[in-house]
Amino acid sequence: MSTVLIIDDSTFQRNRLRTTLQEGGYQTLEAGTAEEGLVIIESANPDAVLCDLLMPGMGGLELLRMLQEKSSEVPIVIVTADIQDTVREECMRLGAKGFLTKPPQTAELLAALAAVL
Amino acid sequence: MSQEVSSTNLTEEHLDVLTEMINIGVGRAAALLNEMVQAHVQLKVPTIEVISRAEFIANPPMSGKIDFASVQLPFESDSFSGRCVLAFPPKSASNLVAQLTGESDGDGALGYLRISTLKEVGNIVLNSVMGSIANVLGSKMNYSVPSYHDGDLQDMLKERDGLVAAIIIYAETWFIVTERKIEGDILILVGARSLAALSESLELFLKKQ
Repeated sequence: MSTVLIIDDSTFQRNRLRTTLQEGGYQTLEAGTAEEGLVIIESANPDAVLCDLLMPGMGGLELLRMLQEKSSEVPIVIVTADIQDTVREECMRLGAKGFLTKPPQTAELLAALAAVL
Repeated sequence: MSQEVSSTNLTEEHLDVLTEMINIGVGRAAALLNEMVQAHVQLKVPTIEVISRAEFIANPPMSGKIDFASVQLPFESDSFSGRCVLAFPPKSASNLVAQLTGESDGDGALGYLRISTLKEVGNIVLNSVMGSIANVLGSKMNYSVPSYHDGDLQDMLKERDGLVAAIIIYAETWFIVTERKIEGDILILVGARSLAALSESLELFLKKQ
């Protein structure tokens, strides 16, 4: 069973994503900040990461940059409320494997994960 | 040249474009909220007004509303900056939280979950509105983390993050979730310089059409 790390500062959003992923047959890990997420990525080696962009402290873009510098191969799918085309392009340029706007539909979320696993 | 509106430097033509952008953003937010609550959500923006802070406080257009649960999203583009606010009367906020979480939020009993839920709704709605404006104007908007506040109108408009709101772009919004009417308001708070910059961006956009 694949393990997906959810990084989002919103408890509400983490609850929703956790339920959807577990019903879709995934194990989940959670982090409320990007800093915490980075530690979990390095220690628990998840199969994929769902990551918010706008969070207190380090944001999702900075996390993408750090992982790119570390040549990390863990696939990151961004899940954000930000609908700007420029932001989507920047995420993909920084190595994101997917970009979903909140709240993602169950089918598109599972398809995005299936595509990177 | 189009006619000036009130004491601000947005013309009728600018307001028309801005209204359309906000409507697109709100329409998109309705679809997203629909997905979140698994129920039909109708979002309606009946009017958009541009009002000075003094005028807004003297004659608040949110008649009968005293206290608010508000989510505030600071934004900054190349040319203008401010805060976008989604404000609910407390009862409407509780109704929305109950609808989303399936749990009763009488008197704000859900505490942290209530705040987290409203912040996320605000995040989605306000990003839809500001993102629609950015996408149409071709500008890039940078956001700070949204914050949640309970308080009255003065509290909602007070200086935060160094921004004193001189001008308020006010959109009265109704969220109608199934049979429940959840009232809310969207406010874009900007300084005088930012309003001038927004006006220039709108003028540039209109010239390109």
